[in-house]
Amino acid sequence: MEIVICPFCGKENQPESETCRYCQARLMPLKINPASQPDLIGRSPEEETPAKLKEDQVSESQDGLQAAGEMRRSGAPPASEASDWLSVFRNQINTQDLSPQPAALDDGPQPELREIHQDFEAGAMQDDSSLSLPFEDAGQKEEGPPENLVVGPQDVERTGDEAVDDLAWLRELQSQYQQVEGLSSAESKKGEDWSAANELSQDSQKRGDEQVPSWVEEIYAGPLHEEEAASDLGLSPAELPSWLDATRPSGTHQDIFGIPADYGGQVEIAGPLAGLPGILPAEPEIALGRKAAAYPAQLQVTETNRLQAEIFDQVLQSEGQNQPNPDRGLVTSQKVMRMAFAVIIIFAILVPVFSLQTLERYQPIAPVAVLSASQIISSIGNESPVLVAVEYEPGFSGELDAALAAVLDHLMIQGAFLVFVSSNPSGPLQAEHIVAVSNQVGSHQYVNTESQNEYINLGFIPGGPAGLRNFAENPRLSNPSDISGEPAWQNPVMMPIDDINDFSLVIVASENQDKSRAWIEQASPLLVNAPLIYVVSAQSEPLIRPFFDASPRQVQGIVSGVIGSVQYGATIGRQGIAELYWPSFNSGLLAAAILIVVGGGANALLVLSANKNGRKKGGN
Amino acid sequence: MSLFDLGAADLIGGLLGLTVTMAVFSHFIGDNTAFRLVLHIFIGVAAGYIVVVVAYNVLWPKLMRPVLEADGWELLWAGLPLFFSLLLFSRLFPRYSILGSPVLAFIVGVGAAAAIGGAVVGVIFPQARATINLFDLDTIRQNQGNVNMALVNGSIILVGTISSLAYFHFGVRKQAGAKTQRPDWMEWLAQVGQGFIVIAFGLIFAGIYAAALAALIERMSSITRFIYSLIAGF
Repeated sequence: MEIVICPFCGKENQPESETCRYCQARLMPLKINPASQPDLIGRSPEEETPAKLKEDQVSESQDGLQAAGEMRRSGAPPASEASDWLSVFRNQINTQDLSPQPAALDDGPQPELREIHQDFEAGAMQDDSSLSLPFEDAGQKEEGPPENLVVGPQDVERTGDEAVDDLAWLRELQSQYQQVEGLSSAESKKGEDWSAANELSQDSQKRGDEQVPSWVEEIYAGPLHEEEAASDLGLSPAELPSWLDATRPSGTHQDIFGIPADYGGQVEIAGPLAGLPGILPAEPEIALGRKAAAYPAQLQVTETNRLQAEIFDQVLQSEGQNQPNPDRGLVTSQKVMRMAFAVIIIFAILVPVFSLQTLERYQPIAPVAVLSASQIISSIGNESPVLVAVEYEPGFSGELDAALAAVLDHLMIQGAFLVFVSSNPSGPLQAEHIVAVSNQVGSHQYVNTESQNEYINLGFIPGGPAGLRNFAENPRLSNPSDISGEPAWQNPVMMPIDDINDFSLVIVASENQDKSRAWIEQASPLLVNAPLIYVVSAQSEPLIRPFFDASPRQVQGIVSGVIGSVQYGATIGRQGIAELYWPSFNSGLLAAAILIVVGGGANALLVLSANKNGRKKGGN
Repeated sequence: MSLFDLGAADLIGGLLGLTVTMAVFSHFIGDNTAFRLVLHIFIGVAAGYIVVVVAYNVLWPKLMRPVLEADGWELLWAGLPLFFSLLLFSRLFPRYSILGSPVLAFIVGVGAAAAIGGAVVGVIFPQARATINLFDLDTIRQNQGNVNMALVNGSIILVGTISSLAYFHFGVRKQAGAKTQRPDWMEWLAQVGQGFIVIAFGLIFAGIYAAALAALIERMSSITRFIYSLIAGF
């Protein structure tokens, strides 16, 4: 919707509003129909035109401005009515005798007046209308004449005589020309169209250029007639000072303010200036609402930036798209090598299984960590509560079942009361599984029934490290019931237990180093009397070993993987699940070692060969 | 154990185990549908089992049952965990997520406090003291060890600890006109630490291989025994 913004108060108005409804400032350029409001504005400029034109033509014919080809600007007030003082001045000039009086010049030498008079004679001054322009444009219309133009009749008489003598020949030449052309008098031109006079003046100027001396060419062609006009009007033309001429606008006020050419005839109808013509409009081009400039939506970037942006956009879009798998050959060297290694290792594992090798041929030597664990468990009395934390994932049950089963077998032989717990959701199920596996190892059968309660599964400990800390400090509150939902702490063995230190032994079985460290961090500071034994995977043993080697020890025993299980069984003289894996385990390790050595040697040979070929190529 | 000794559950379990194991083993020839199917089954079964365990071991006995069994003022105390747990659901709605922020902040704060406190009290201080005690002659004599060997062992551990820590020291003082790098003695110490780290990584890799090998042997042994039992039955 188009709106009009008031240039004075800045508020929005309807586009058809002529004045601002808030501050009453004019919004639209003034255009009225004079016929519709004759009383308000009186005569319109058009009505005044015939009379004024007549006066203008008279004045123009008198001052001879047609010869200079200058036109009077429309709308500009005629010089004859510009000011009364100028008319008085003209009358005074007309009454003067322009006969030569050289003595007068000598008597009163006034340089300024003489200069003005000479300029007047030389025709440097323009007509009255142009004279008035600087005062009009600068808004300096004055009631009285300028001081430098206020001269007495005697002075004008003296200076005029000298100028007349200097230009007598030129005036004579002009009169001869006018006689030839039939334009000897100024009255003969009054009724003619000024355009014809303009052409005539141009012709006379051309002819004058052919006849007058060169220095006359620099003189404005109008002075010949201006002299007569000045004598008729009684006004001597003046030359503007250079500083004042420099301030004179190059164009009209219409050009400067962007006023339409036909605006000069408009008459103000409202406000204190009502009835006056030629009033400057209230900045109509600012008040009118316009459409916002349409700028291109395309980002102004270089071609390189645009290409980079497109590439970046393609990368982002390709992130959400499924990429087809690279078209690889069915058989590649890497795949062949991988399958070859798998076949070798599987063969190494299966050969001992089918050869039925026994453990006696590979009797291990138990290390200190395993011996310490075995000694601690050997000291566990009957019905002693032992906390077993089953923290390994089902994927590692092959290794840790073998290791933990050996330890649990020993505990079952000792008659310990097992309490299972886990901070892993799958831990409770793993605990049930390992009890079943351990029962298969020996002749003992640990069960958890109402009539026979030899172990209890407290289930899952939520909360991560904070949950472990809570369980270590108050296991009754942390896990009040077992995995089946029955109260867990009503068993006579469990009743004296208030914190983790009240257990006879704590065993942590884990393949995860973070889980293993969490138990050390949260539980070991509370374990003063109860020893802590770890049954861990071979991959996490190096990270638990420092806690065993420390002085004082934070971990009192370690059973690590299949090897630790076999070693532990050897300490108590029993063979568990690990003994079934032991031959294959050794063969698999041997095969892996051979593959590593052979692969490393082959790789070294390839590197050496490549270096040798490189040196040869470099030498050639 | 022969085929006739196997129960129906054992037979089905054995066949299922054999099938699933072979499907997983098939991955070594490349990704295939059987492997992905088994993988999805494992993930789904594990997730379902975890939900059951959590609901049966945590939500019911620790959250719901105390509220149902509480009377009077106990109900207010027992209902607080349930109320705060329900506030956590507001995190699902961005407009009301601020309601769950205090509860979440409490959980994170307690967890961080327990982890940091445990690490300081349970690991850093004891390990630092253990490293110092490696050079305690009284302790060495109490353990009836060889003093010289104990000092050599302690020196190796001390050098390994310091040099490994130096390897992860990347602080460099910038000097105008000079190449930005660690001092020479620090570079040398870091190189020594790198050697210790390489040995530790090699040991861990060997442990990983041993663990994987044990799992493979367990599966191969299980399959072999099942096949033996099937063959023996016919």
